[in-house]
Amino acid sequence: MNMTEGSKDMRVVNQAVPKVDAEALVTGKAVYTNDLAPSDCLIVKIIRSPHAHALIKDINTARAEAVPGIECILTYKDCPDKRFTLAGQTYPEASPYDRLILDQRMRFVGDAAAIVAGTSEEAVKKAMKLVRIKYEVLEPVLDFRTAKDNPILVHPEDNWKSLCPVGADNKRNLCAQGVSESGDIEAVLADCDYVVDRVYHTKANQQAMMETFRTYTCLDTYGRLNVVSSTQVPFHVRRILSNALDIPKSKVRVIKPRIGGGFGAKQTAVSEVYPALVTWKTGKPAKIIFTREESLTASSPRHEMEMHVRLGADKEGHIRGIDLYTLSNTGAFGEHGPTTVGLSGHKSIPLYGKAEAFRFTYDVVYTNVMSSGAYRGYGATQGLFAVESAVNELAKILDMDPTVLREMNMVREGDVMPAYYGETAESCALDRCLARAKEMIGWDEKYPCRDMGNGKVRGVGVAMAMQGSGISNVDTGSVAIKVNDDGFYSLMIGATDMGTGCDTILSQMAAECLACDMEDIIVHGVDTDTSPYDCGSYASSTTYVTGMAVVRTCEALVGKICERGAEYLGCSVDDVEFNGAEVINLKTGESITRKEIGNRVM
Amino acid sequence: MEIQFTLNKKQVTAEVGADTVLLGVLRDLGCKSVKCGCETTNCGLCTVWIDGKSRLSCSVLAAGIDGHEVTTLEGVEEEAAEFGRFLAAEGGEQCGFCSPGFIMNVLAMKRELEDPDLEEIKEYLAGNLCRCTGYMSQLRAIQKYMTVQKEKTGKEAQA
Repeated sequence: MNMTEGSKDMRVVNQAVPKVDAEALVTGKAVYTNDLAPSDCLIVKIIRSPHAHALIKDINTARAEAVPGIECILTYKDCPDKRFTLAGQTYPEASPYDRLILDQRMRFVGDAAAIVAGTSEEAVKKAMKLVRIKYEVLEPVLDFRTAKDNPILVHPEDNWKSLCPVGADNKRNLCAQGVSESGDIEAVLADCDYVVDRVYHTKANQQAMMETFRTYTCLDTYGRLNVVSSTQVPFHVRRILSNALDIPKSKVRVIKPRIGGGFGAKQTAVSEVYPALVTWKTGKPAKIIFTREESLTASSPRHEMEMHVRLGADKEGHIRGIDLYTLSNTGAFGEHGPTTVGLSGHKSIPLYGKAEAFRFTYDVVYTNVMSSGAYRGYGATQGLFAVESAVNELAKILDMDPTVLREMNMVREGDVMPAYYGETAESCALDRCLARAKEMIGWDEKYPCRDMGNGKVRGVGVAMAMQGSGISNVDTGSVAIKVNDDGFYSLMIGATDMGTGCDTILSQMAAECLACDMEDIIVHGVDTDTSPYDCGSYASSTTYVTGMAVVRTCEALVGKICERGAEYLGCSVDDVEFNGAEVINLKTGESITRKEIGNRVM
Repeated sequence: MEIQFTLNKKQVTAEVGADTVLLGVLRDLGCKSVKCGCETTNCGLCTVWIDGKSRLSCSVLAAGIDGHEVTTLEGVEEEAAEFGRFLAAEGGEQCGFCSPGFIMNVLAMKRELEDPDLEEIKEYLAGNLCRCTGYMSQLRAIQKYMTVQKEKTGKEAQA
């Protein structure tokens, strides 16, 4: 990989260093949620609905409660009747407030009907078999193509609430709806020599991180709810639990230990609310460890989508118009529904920046299947599959090399992208990227296919994608750095290392900016009581967003170190320089070490 | 029932039921390196050695362990750390959750196979799933580690 100009001189950044947590990970130290949970935690398990759509008519817990070791069995009657979302998003969330911790209405096979907590796994499993639930089974909406305006409503309740203008309407099974367009798409398509008209269907899929969803909770000395959870979004979890339990945010502390992968799945608070409710009700520590089966059947997979693409071009292959309609299946609840669908159009249509007109329309519908969530790419993958497939179909019709077709039409640096909020592509190396990819593939020798002479034919194919780091003007990263006695630094971060290495790379950046060794920096994250606010780790943004926070914080800190150094040296701050180890009076050559400054400021 | 077995060279006892699986017993005895990923012998996270052979502790009944010898990563920590440094150097321990089970199987392979080629390595480790890496970094780490081990044994043989 080529290093960019300016990074060649870097001392710590761009060096291959082992991750700061590597030794602990490879020697199997107790660093994950379930390793840290106290041994006296109540075991929490969920009784899940066997019906896709049903109303609970009666729950009889008497026999189950009599099982020795059972602490409590909680039902919808024990939960606040105030809806919230489990989506880990910046407030006000685009995802509708459509959930209760436990609800009387069951909305998918696997929906939570009751919580059982007890002192041992055996007791809890035994009690689960003894809880008697009477359901009134209702007809479900299972095909997402029939969900919009279906007389069967997934969320008929009146306290359903949408915080943002995303076109949501629970009385129409709509989690979101919208249209954005530029130019007269119908006129342009009518005038095109060729129009490719196709429908593509992508299914839901699971992130399948190795560590399933898990959380433990306890009350601390001050009666506050302490939550240790495998999450990508600790600060959002704090808000979600405050909403779910209807308690002030100040009562909740969330700690993120090492986490065994997330891939977007843990950008939804899938497991936190259950032990939190148990601890809040009983005052006792509690933990839930999702089984692999639960992780696959009651979680937060990628949204199933169906995309109708109409792509118009002239005889030479100039793409003149793109019309995309996305139907997205958010399932029983709306987590990340209104936002993922946006990327299906916003990250696909702008690739073809020369088009005269575009239209992007979408519906996100509720159905009686598991709720969807965030997954790497966040909706872009689905839209890209559809649009890029259509472009390849166009290449076939035109009998053109699909890379040549793309070279003709792709967005280039400096182009305005009407389908991406009218923004200008200020950072775009797509042309160079495609050229390099063709070179690496050996495209010109291999396209379209080669007869291998052994009864096999090998072909090559191409698709492009665009991605941004973070959500512009929404995502926030912050860090705090303090100088300790003896002059070593504490780097407090709210960004979430989930195996992605941000604890390491942010330390590297800090060491670079402060001209010290990585050993001089201790990194700490994440504890919502002490870490500075961070929206969490998602959207491939931590290096960029929180990384810039490190750079700016270091700049400010160096200024302060110089001020103190000058004060102790009895000179003007304009006369001093900080070299990482000491502040030097450039006029006299006198100096004071960082260690000394650290000890004197205490 | 009470069982007695050797855990990482120490004699231990545990009270288990007829249907208790070994995985939970080991974690309760403090071996937190042993992870549960699937409960159905599909992922390799819970790999330990029983009498020196790799086994998936999520599918071994604890009752059957009475009198046997169990080794977890805690029992081969130094060797694990040594291979772990190769793994870390290649970026093969991203979230780290699969690392203990994976390392146990790599060290078992080292004992069982002499100079395995890439295909043999892949086959031996087919049961150790990892969601972060895509496996290439792990394979690089193993090959480099094995090369160094071979050089070491070569030198020992000469000496």
